[in-house]
Parts: sequence; structure tokens; C-alpha cells
Amino acid sequence: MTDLTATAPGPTGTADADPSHPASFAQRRLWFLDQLDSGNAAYNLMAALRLRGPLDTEALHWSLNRIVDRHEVLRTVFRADGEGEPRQRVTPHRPLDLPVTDLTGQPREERDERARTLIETETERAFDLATGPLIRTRVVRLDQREHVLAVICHHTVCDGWSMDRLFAELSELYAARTAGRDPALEPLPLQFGEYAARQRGELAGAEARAALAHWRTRLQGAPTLLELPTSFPRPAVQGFDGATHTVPLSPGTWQEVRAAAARHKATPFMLLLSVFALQLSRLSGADDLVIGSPSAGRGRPELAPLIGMFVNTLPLRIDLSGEVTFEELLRRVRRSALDAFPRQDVPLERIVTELGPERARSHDPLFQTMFALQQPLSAPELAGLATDIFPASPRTTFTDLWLEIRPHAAGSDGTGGADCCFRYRTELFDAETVGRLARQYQHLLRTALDAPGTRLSRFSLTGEQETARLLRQGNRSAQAHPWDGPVHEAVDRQARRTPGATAVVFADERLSYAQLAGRTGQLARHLAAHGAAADTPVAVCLPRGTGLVTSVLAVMASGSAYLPLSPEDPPARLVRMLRAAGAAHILTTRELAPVLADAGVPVTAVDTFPWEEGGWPDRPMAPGRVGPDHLAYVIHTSGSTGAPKAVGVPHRGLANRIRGIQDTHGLDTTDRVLHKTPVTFDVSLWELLWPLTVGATLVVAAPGGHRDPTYLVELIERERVTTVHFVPPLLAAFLEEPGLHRCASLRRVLCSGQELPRATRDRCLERLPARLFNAYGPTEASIEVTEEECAPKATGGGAPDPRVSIGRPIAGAEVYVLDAELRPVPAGVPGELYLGGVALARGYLGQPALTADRFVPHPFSRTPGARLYRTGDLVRWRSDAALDFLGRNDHQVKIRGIRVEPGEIENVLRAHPDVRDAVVVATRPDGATGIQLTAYLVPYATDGSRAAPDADALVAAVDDRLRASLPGFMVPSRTVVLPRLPLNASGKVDRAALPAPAAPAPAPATARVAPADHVESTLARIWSQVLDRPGTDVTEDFFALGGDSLKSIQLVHRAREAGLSLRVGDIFHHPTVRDLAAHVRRTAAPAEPREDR
Amino acid sequence: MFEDDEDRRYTVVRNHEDQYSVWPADRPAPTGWESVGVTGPKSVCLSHIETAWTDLRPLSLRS
Repeated sequence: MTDLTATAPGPTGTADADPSHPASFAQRRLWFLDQLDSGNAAYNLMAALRLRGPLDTEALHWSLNRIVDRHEVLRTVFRADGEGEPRQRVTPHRPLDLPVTDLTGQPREERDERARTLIETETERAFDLATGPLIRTRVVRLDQREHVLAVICHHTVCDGWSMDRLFAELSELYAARTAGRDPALEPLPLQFGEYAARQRGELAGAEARAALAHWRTRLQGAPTLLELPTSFPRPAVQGFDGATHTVPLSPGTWQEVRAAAARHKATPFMLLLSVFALQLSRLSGADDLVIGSPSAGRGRPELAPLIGMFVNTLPLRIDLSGEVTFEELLRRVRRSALDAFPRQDVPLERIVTELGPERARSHDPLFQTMFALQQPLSAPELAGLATDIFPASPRTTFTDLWLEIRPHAAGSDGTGGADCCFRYRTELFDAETVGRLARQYQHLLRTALDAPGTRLSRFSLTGEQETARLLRQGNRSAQAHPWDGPVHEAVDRQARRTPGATAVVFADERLSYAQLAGRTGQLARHLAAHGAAADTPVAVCLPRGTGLVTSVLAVMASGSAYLPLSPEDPPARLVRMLRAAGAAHILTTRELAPVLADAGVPVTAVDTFPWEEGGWPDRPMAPGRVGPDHLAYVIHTSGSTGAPKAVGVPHRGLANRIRGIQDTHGLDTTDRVLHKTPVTFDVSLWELLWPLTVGATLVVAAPGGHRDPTYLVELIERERVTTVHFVPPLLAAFLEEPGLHRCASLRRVLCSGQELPRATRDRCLERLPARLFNAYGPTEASIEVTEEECAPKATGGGAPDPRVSIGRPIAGAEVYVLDAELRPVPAGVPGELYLGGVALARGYLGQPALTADRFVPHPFSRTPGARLYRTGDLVRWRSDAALDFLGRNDHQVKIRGIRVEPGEIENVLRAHPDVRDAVVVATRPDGATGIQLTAYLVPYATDGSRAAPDADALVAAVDDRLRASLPGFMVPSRTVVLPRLPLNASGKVDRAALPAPAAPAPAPATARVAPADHVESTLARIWSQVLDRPGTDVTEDFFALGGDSLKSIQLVHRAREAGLSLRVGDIFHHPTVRDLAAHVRRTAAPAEPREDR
Repeated sequence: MFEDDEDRRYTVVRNHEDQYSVWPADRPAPTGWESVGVTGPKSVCLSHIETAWTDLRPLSLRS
């Protein structure tokens, strides 16, 4: 229907035999990305117009075809030459389709949305760069007099400015066609292909070389990955799924931005970029950033009328170091921008090649965030039609986070506002997080405009309201329980209510509440007569048994502080701890008594104590009076330095915890609580005391029994235990016990002590009929301060939670997530956990400086003189106001400058179906320059003897999984399979006791590892050719040897010629000959079942 | 707390219970905390506390 006989205006005189040109640098990069991941639509550009009025579809179609005719680039396709280099070839004209979709049959109110979906879906349809066409057009009819025109181009042939050019030409062509006159379009001065060829030549010139050298100097040593707090862990291979979140800037704010920029001799671009840099810096903790920013790339006037891929992205490095003000930051950004603009013609691709940063498929080199200030959007005129922009946002992105500021066209008063569009990778961020980022940006901009003299460190990421909300969130749980006496008095009261009920069961022994209270009173009076006094520790060094239960109560009842010691510790260490703690008395066994007498204080052997029945309830159980601030117990904790610290915890916190745990779980007299936790771990306190305050029965496990899952199953079944605590490693072992189904009496399982892996949680919920609770609390607070019931994994229907939350603060506990300046950090951002409220310990006994350093003035409390305990634990608020535990501050490591959290790697390892437990530690082996990650795995194995032969296969399988799901820098270099992890006395993993990994492989320099088989030698030969270096070590990394994206394509071409089936992406995953060969062998043997869970 | 900056100056503070701690010298101490007049790097402040704070019990318990 369209007349295409007219020849195109303008010079199209490329009548050479080979109408091809080299691809421009930017085209080459886009082509490469397409080779790497063909079918991705992230580089499809779209512009859409709403057209109101009588549309002449024929004239529109004719006009679009004229444009394609005029601009060779719109008829260009890309093919690789023999060297694997892409060339652009202009195809003869072929008519452009203009399909019309008629929505007039649809309900009126749905048509806009349907049109938007249609256009977005059309935009997300991939182009074939080898066959073209690389432009698509489409009309959607909303009404007889209302249409939407969408133009979609691949970025290799178009850019944002080009879309404006396209519409400008359309405007003239359409006007001419409908008026029946000749179009008045100037001939094009040159075609894109000629520009690309010219670009190659110019970049070889001295000026371009100087510019490139400038970029190299400027970017030397810049960080290669910006670590933003993402909603989800970064995948091993990045995808292109994206979304957009837009927030407005009011006309008033926009005017302020312009005025403030002018005052500082800067542009709005520089000011808005400074705020973005500040935000990224605060979120990531980095004070040296590279942000990409597009520049039009049309510095020369002859390029102005052209359509094509001219835009270049400038890597702007921004220095935020030092205690500087926002004004100083703006000056630095200004300098950085003014430095960059004269050198904007150096293609980003050249800069990347020049710097040779480490390539990874998990993230882009140089920068992962972008910033742009766009021109005001204005719709072109089309004769006889009213036009405006039809908003649509394709669900793709090609960078992690891109802030685009789009000023509105000026209103009638000469002013308009602007939109802040945050485009983001949905693999990394969820909509809620980006919504928060947008609010943060607005808030930071507000502060920068109001008080530009503010130092960067004093900017708050959160507005007053959100700060207040965050502070409330950690502090809004129920009030602390009012003090109504110490816990042992609650036990005494319970004994008066149910004197005949069974209080304690240990093996064949039974103690009624009356017997327990009677013995407690008798022993307490004995202690009071022999040195016990308020606030003075009395040591209890006993194996589990009824004597232990009586002793704990008696120490508290005497008014002194209970100091638990493990009878399994070496006697010399026990004596040292007794002296350091200043114990006034020691309760122990007859066997240990003579040894402990070395401490020089009275010793009583509880196992031979002459118990007298009777005496109670006439005489009170507790002769001593204790107040809420007196110490209830003293527990030693070993810090990272290894020296034990004696933590003193007052009665107020203990009583609050015992009341709180009862509120959560509502134990009754039918409940039977297992005591199996070693007494040196504070969880044993509630095991021992809580059931006795409510008339339940305490079932005491045999000494050593806590480590034996078979025994525990038998005991739980025999004693009908309802309530049990586990540290996660022991829970994982317990859940594998064959007789687990016999534990039908279990009602609740409580977990704490270290991070609960998701796999353990899921297995527990699957295998036990009990409810599962996860809790958190350091020794420096009374037992637990946060807790939450673990829900089955299927709830919510969303993506599975990567972590098990540690829950919300318990009544009376205050929880704050703060940055290094003690400011609350926003949800989703890691910060250090600080605790306040009644749960706080008094401090480290005998260590005032350490106490003063860890227990700090409380800046948010209404109680004057209150303190906060800084835990050293990294956590973050989740959107649902629960907390995620992220690890210890001091476990975090930096690998090649990138922050790595071993816990994240452990989670991936534990998700493997054959891995029962895993620990990842960072070590610096002797003589090594960098830090190495070592993974320790415990496989599921029915008997220990079987583990060894399977270890290699497991290591290989796990390694594959790690490479598939984590960025390369997070994959441990060594993996050690262990039958079990070493645990400390509390059942937590003892990292210091992990065996050192085997000696590293010999350095490549000393002995080259030769190819082992045909596949390896074929690959090694191609390797040498492509990299142009003789002799390839099969363990050396392709990219470390100078391989780049182009060379990887050459490698693939040649491998295919040699009969080996490879994709470009494989080389990123398996960058050594050995790994790649293994991959080739695996994929070449399809009969072999692949792990795919 | 504030540990990223080793040049930072702190002051020794004390509350009504005679508990000690440190606080950045350039910021007003939170309510209920008063400076005892010792200011310097954190290590200096902490070693002052090591000798000055001889009884960790809250003041109200000491009588």
C-alpha cells in the first residue's frame, strides 16, 4: 500500500562492493553482550506517542519508511568476520511493517493499560542482530481518533537523542505527505557506518591517546564493585530483568536545585549527581565511587542530524573521603565532570579494555550504577494531531541501579518539576527497597539544599519521621515486666501451690516441689553461713543432676550470684576462673572438692550433702534478700581474643526473661522441659528455672547426653518431654536421627546460639510435629532479646526467604541497628546491633575499661544515664520489622577489596541436598598475599566410614553449585570435607579448632600443569593461539592471562571448529583449561544425570 | 562505636550510678552522663577508666 518507488533523499552513495563497515566500539560491546546472552531485550529502546485526532496511517507508514530509507543504520545488521570481529552491513531497503492493533472492541477504561502492556511486551521481544531489522514500529488504536505509535529500536542502531531525530523527521515527512508536498529534509552529511570507520582512525591519534591516558590515570585503583545493600544476594550471572520506580520533585524543589547549583557555579546535573553519590556512599560504606553517566557523543555539528548509537557512558569517579561538607563534595563532582566532558569521546569500551578490570558475569566492570539528567520531554508535532508522550516502562535494565532525572517541560509560569526515575535490577532489589531508596534520595537532596555546609557524615539517610519510626521499631515491644522479686522466689511460691508435684526428674530420681524447696533452703542457709553474700559469686561446678538444680536455686536464694563452671574443664583453668571471679564459696562434687580447694575458699560437696527432709515450708526457702540490681549470675564468655570474660547479669533482667518466655509459650503443669544445655551457656538458666516457676517438670539429661542424638530421642520419648532447646548444629544432627518419629511428645523446639540455617529450619518443620522458635541474645544481655516463631517455608508465596529471621525484640528489650556514628540505619541496610533496656548485663567483672568500651551512653533513652550494649553483630531490619542476623562484625572479610560475608556462602553450601552443615572461614595462608576462603562441609552420611570415598564427588558438586550461584570472588578456593564440625562446650561451631586446609597447589611459576587428555590439549592449543603465548598451564585463568570478551569469542569459534561445543558464557564460569575441559566432558555426556535441584 | 576514625577524641563520662563510659568529645553527652574532665584518644580514656572505676556495682548498691 506504500509507494516506495521514490528514491531516498540525501547521499546514500555507498555503492562499494562490500557495503560493510567495522562496528563502532559501543556497537561492538552491545554485539558481544548479545552473543553472550542472545535474546536479551535490555538494550531495546522504545519511544511511544499518543496521537489524538484523525490519523492518516498510510502517511505515517510512508514517513517511517522514508526514515529507514534515509538512515542506513536503520537497515544495518551485524555479522562476525573470520577473526570474530563484528562488522556492520547495510541491507537493501525492505519495507518496514506497521501493524495496527485495534483495541476499540475493549472496554474504554482498559484500553490504555492494554496498550501499555502490548508496547512493553513488544519492547521485550528480542531483535536478531544478524538478520535484522533492528527497528520495529506499531500502532495501537484506542479509538477512531486516538492512537499510540511505538517505535522500538535496538541500541546498536539508535540512542535517546536519535529517537528525537526520528520524530523530528517524522514530523516533517508526515506534514508533507498529508499536504501533498515534497518533504523539506536536508541531505545527511554522512552515514553512521562512515562515522564508525572514522572513529577508529581518530582513536589512533595523539589527542585520543592522551585522553585515554587521562582516563586510565583517573580510574587507576578505583573499586570495581559497589556493594549496595541489596534485597537479594547477587547471582553468579546477572540477568536483565528490571523495573522502574518514579517519584516527583516539586516545581519548588526543582527551582531550588537550579538556584543552588548556580550559586555554586555548578550545574543541576552536578548537584543531583553529588546527592546520588552521597547516597550510594552512605549505603555501601565506600568513599570512592564510580558512577556511569551517559553523554550524547555528538560533539560535532555534522553528527547532530544522524540516527545511530552515539551515546557514550562516562565512568565518573567521585571521591567522598575525609570529613568534608556537601559543598566540597559538589566542588569535587564539578571537577570530575569538567575533567570528563572534554574527553567524552573516548568510548567506554576502550577505557574498560585499557584498565583490564577483572571480568565477571555477576556484575559489570567499572561501575554498576548510573546517573543521568535528561532533557525535558516534549512530544513532536504531527500535522493535524495533538501529541504527547505515552508512558511505558519495559521490564528490563542493563545496570544495577540507574537514577534518571527528567525535568518536566516548563509550565505556563515558566517552571515545572521533575521526575526521579529509579530503574533497577529486580534480581537485586525489590520494589519496597527501591521505594525506600527514592525517599532517601529526596531526603538527602532536601538536606543538601537546606544546609549545604553540612558534613557528609552528618547527613542522615532517613528523614525525621523514619528515624523516629526506626527507633520505635526496636523499642515498641511490650514494656518490661514490673519487678516482682527474683526468679527463685517465684519457684518458692510455686512450691507452695503444688508441693507434691514432680519438680525434677533425673534418671531414676524424682524430686517433688516440696523436696526441692526444702533442700534449696537448707543449702542456701549453709551458704549464707559460709561466705555467701549479696552480689558475691558462688561457684557451682557440678555435672547435671538433681544436685545441680538444687545448687543453682540455693545460690540465688542465699543472695549471691550463681557462677556456673564446667566440671569437664581442666582443674587449673577452673581454679584460675574462681580466683578471677572472686568466688566466695564453691559447690561441687566430692571428687572435685580437693582440687578446687586450691582456690582458697570454702568448698561444699553437694553429692554427699546431708539433706534433711522437712523444715520447709515453715522456714522460707530464701534467707537472703536480693534486689533487682543484684547479680543473679556470672557467666564466662570467650571473646574473639580468647581470654574469658566474666559477664555479670542482674536479677531484673533474668526475671524479665523468665516472665517473657512464659508469656510466649504458656507452659503449664503438663509440660516437661529438658535441661541439656551446658551450664556455661546462659540458655541453661531458663531451662533450669522457667519450668519450676509454673509447676511444670524439669527433665535433666545425663551428663554428656546432650551430644548424643540417639540418647536424646530415647529420653524425650521416655520422659514425654514437651520442650527442648537446641543450638542449630545439634538440632541438625538430632533431626537426622532415625528414631526421630518417637519424639511425638515434643510441642516446641527453641533454637538460639548461632545462625539457624534455612535448611535446618525446613527440616525441623518437616520432620517434627513441634513448633519451632528462633531466638537471639548475647551473654551480655539476659539470655534472649529477640525471638520469632519459624513459619513453614510455603507461606506468603513469594521467593523463599534466604535467611531465618532472629525475630523481634522481646518485652523490655530495646534493639537498635546503628551505623558507626550511632545513627539508625534504614531497613535493609546492614548495621551493628545495639541493645538496651532491662536485659543489659552489669558489665565484665573486674574489667572496667572493657565494660566502658562495650556499654556506652544511650543516646535515645528517656531514662537519664541509661546504657547501650554494642554486640559486634551485624544485622538488618527487614521490611516486616523483624531482624536478619548477618554475621559477626569481625568475621567479615574483604577479598580483592570486595566485602564478603562468609555466612552468605554457608547458606548456599547448606542448600545443597548432600550437605548437612558448612562453615566458611577466611584465612591468610603462610606466604600468600591475599585472603583465602576455605569451606568446611559435613555431608549427610549414614555411617562415618562411608564419607571418605564420596568426598571428591561432593566437593566437585558443591563447587559447581557455588560457581552457578555466587560471584566468582565468593567461591572458596579450598573445600574440606569433615565427618563433623568441631563444637565448643556450648555446642556452637568452634572455628579455631577447624583443621588448616591442605597445602596449596604448587605455584604456577614453578611447574606448569600440562594438559591431561585430548580435550584439555585441544583447548590448551587454542588458548595459546588466542592469547598469543606459548604453553598454557591448564590451571591458569583465561582472563588473568589477558583474555577479554573478544578473545573469548575467538576461543569459542575455534573450539567449535575443533568439534568442541562451547558457549561464550562457559568461559566466564570455567575460566581455566581444566575447568572448561571438565565442563565440555560433562555436557558432552548427556546420559549422566545433572544435579538440578 | 565511632571506631572508623582513630583520630577521634573522646571524653570520659559517668552517670548517676557511677558507671563509666566514653563519648566523642565533640558531641554533647546523652542525658544523665557527665564528663569527668578526661579527654583524649579512646585508649587514653579507657585506661583512665581502668583505674578510676574500681567498683562496677551501681552506686545505689554500694552502701
